[in-house]
Amino acid sequence: MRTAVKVFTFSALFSGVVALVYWLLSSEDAGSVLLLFMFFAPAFIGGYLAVRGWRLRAGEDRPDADYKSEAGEGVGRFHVGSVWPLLMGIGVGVALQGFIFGSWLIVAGAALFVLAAVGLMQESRG
Amino acid sequence: MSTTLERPPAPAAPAPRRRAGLIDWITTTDHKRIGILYIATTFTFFLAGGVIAMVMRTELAAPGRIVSKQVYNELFNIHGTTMVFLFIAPIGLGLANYFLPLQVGAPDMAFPRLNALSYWLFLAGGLTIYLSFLAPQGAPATGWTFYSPLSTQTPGAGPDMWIMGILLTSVSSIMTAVNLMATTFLLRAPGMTMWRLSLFCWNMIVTSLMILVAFPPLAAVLSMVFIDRHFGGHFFDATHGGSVVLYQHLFWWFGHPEVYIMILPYFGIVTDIIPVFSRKPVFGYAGFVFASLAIAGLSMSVWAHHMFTTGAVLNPWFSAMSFLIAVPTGIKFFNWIGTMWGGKISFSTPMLFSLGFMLNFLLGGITGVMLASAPIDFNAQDTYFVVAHMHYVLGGGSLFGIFAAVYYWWPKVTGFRLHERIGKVFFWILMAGFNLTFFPMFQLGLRGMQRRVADYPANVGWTFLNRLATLGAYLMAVAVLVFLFDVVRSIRRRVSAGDDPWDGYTLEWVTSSPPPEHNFDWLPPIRSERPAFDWHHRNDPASALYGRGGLEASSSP
Repeated sequence: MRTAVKVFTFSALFSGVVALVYWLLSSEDAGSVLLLFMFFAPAFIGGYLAVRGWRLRAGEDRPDADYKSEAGEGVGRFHVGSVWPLLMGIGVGVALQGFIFGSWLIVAGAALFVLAAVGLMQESRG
Repeated sequence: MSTTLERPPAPAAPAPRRRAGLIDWITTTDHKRIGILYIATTFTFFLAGGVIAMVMRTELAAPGRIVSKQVYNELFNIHGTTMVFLFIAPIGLGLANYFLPLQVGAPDMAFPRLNALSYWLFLAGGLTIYLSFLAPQGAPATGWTFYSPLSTQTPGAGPDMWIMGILLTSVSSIMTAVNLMATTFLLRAPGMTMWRLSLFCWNMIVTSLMILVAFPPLAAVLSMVFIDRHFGGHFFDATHGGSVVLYQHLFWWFGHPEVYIMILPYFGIVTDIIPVFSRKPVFGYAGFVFASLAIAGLSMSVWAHHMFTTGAVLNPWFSAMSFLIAVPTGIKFFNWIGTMWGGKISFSTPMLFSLGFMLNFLLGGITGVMLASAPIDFNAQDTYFVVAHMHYVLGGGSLFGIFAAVYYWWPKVTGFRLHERIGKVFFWILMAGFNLTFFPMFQLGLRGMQRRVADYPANVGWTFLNRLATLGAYLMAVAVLVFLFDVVRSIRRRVSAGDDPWDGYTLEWVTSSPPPEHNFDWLPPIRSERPAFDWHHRNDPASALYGRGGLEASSSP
């Protein structure tokens, strides 16, 4: 995790310096704000990982760890199939078309989206 | 339905396979099937975009018109949109979907259902864009850059559908980027430290980081265009205090990093392929990683080199930063040449495509450095020189990288092998066709031919070069037909390739072809960036596992 934190921290530092120098040289608003955004994005993720994961030294971070020594360790919970992503995708697609072809499509798409979201949550609990 | 996975104490017996039905495919959350869906869908879009390109090249083969200017404008917009948003960038994400979890030793992506949703949003976006051809006033004739005020003032539902389509694909890309990063950071196998990752995985981390920073402003700027079009906004209306230059800032903030989002995955792929076919470890692993990070950082700081001629940006800054990108890119060439140097090179099809990638990208890169110089750009702006440069980067670079990946990984995905000799014929026809199409465009640009024109006068000396370019485009179409023949032949003949036909280095080559559900029945010790090589050659002094007594007894499947 430490390497990940370093990647994000380095990205944030680089962006911060570039944003500052660009602003000083150009006094141009749009680009300076975007560069500031580029500073905050990795800083946010890197900061979160630094707080949560800096001390975490899992098997994947230990150069001498192997498959046998990790036997029985939880890897995670993985769904092998679900219809809800498809329905949610259709819902979002239909709702966006509503902005062009009529607001009833927004309602229909949003309803499908909510249904799919509920389905996903129930599936997660199950 | 879900499965809670633990690392098993001993290798599991392979589960019997059954043929997947339609329902299995549309409800799948398996990263491999989603990867196949991505690759198949993006390739279909590639064929559609290619057909459009053939119509455009036929139109430009000689003065005079076979399609109207309006239709031509719609076609070049959808061609550019297809290649950028629906093929080159997302097929990289599709390949990552399939291979990144395998290469890090993960059973799936970190968020399998989010992954499925990403694919469906991408498909919905692509279909929305193509359905805009059916809109009453046709597809948007705005160019893929969708510049305001043209985009805000073009009537009809076509531009709106384009906006919604791009929004859908943008959200899809952002979600995939999150998934790829979470998978790499959290689901690596024991011993797979970050500095043992394949360089494809490293480049996908960098690509994902760039997507997270570049795509949200794209979604924002297109939403602003939509507001200008329908809700009385004036973001880009100079008569009401808006600014069209603001549009260009926001668009190119996305647009330039997008070029690297479209090329970095293929940098990674060829850097996985070249060592395997040179029978050497990669030269300068850490240098390559740092060069990728440097490219990402610098490429986010050069967006306005597309805006030199507006007179509203700090040209020296953007020139200098653009020149700087040549340094980390040059480091990658040293990596590739250093890896091949003294190696036992085998010119198999994936290696040929990797070499083609290097040569074509070199031309695209060098002309990029030329265009980074503002005085040159002032002369070349909006000419065919820029078209040639862009196609050498994305066609000669990314497209050749894609076919390198297809020939390299096809045996892993299907269990069958593509035909070597047909593959080489395909490579040489594509290489000849590509260069015949795009090299004359440099000369056309220098002679002043503007891009995005449906016709040109007969007396300006552009006809011969345009005919050459069109001939080259037809050759490329023939090459793609040869490739499709090879694919169909491979599927029909079903000649087994074995699990590791290339004696590969990365982790996907230790599992079966195709891999089982959740990818691995067992994993070897991971002690270097070449775990498959180490395991298969554990009695070879070149292996990181050499000389470790008792290893076989404790680790074999």
